[in-house]
Amino acid sequence: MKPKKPIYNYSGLKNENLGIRVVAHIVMIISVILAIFPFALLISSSLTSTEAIAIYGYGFIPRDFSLSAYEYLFKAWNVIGKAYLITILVTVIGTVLSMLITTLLAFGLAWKKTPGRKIIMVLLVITLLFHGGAVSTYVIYTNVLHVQDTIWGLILPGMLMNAFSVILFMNYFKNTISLDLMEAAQIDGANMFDIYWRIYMPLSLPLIGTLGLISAIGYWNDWNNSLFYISSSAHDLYTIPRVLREMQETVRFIASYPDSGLSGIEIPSASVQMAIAVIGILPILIAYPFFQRFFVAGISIGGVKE
Amino acid sequence: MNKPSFIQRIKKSNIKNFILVWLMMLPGLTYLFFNNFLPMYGITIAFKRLDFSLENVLASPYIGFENFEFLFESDAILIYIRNTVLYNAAFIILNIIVPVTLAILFTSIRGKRLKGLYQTMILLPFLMSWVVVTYMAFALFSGENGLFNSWIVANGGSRINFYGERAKAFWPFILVFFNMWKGTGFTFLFYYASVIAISPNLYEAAKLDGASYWQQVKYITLPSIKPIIITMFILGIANIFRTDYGLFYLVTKNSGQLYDVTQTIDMFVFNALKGQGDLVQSSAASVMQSLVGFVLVVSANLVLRKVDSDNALF
Repeated sequence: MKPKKPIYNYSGLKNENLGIRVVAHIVMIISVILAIFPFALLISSSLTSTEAIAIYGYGFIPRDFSLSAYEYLFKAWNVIGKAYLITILVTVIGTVLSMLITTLLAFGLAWKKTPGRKIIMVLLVITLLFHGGAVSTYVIYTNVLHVQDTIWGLILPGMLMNAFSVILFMNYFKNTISLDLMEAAQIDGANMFDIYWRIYMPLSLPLIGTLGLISAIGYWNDWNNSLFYISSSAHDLYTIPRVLREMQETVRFIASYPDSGLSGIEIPSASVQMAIAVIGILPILIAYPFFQRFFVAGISIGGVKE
Repeated sequence: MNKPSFIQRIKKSNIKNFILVWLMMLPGLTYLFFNNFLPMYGITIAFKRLDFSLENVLASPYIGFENFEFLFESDAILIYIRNTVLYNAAFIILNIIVPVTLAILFTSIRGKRLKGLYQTMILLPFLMSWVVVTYMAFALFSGENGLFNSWIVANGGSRINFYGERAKAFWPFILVFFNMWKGTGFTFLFYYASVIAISPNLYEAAKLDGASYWQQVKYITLPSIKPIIITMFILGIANIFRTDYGLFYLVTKNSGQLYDVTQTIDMFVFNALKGQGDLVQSSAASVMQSLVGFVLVVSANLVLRKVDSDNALF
């Protein structure tokens, strides 16, 4: 294997000066507070009764602890649950497909003998520099590909593959995985797809994990595609971000569903809206501690110039 | 004889592999075609007088740059361009200064668990959707019971409608804050990884020569991460006409009264696409974004080549 440039887990830039260390801690603590306080606000507001919000306003500590917002959500599960399902579906399908086609293309580009390789590389770089623009892309996806109001309208546009990831994988394939493996496999009679699937993929798991994670988060949080390609008549295809956004526009949004299980009078109150937002971020918050270290390590792979 | 059949076998297996690899690349290439290259052709829309009576709208006649004239005549679009450029300039600069400073300071912190904790907390906003951020912002700025208004009222002031015209001056700061809030966690890690990769030997040598902490930072750390900073800078410049929909559309609740300070070119294009504006104008604006971005990236790179050719992108 080519000797890799090592990544140290400490910096040579040590400072013995207590002053700097104190400053560093203070800065970090301030940054953390700034990063976290909106979450505290969101969660506490979802756990407050609506009356308390009307009287005391949004705050960091629930004045009148109440789970009524979540009870409301439970009743409206028809709507929320469906959106949750769609979001999960889009995220899983999107991420898996994305990783597949990105790595397949990167593999082809990493192999020295692929015919037309250099032209494809040039084309790839062009997509980094020049963009068709929102209007043009929209026209293509609606008039040519007809993905509007289908689940593909949520999965395909924009996010399925990007040149950055392809290049990252390509470099990883070329630099980090030894060519001997490929040659040995070819002598054993393996074809390129076998080599891709049985050798390169397993060895690339760290990068797949990191980029897959970024892709999954992108899909989970995406509201762009929903707003562009899913019209209000297709509310079966609403994702959680879209539901959140519609709720802002039309306060009566959830209650106006014919099959929502709620009477038309019950309007989602402020605390309910906050609760839906909390539900929207819950999976990420829960999974976060598990994948955080992995994520950080992955960014290190991409961030260092070899 | 062994030799010819060996070569024949190699050739046959090579061709088989060529075809196989091309089939493997096909999904990706197809996607590139539809997602990236076909829209590039669609740019021609901006140069045509769209005739919807034609069966294929794309066959409408060309009218040169006529559709682009409004860009220079309308005052509104100039404001949107100004907003876009100014915000992006602030973002580019701050998105370099703040994370780099944090990354360098971070190296002074001892204790793995504490470091891990800090990293975790700061990265969290990055994982959020702008829609959720909108709710957080609403909890802060709501005219009726937002956090700020509650404080103001409790201290004897009168309520401020943050989403209304009078509050325009706040929004540049609010938007810059949220952009930093969401992005810093990620860029900080990015730069920190680069700082960490600097060989400690350099620092040892410098210390032997009697270099102080600040000298080490100035002469070792910063120059070592210069390539990454420059890359980020160029990417920022290339996208100087583009903005993140989420931030400018959602967080501001698309409040028309704030357009003077919050509306960007993308917003203008988006609103038009959703039926509230001129499709032709928005398509022209969209094309302008792409063209300007392209020119900027190539120019920036050319300039960079003259100045410091190692770090140019291509």
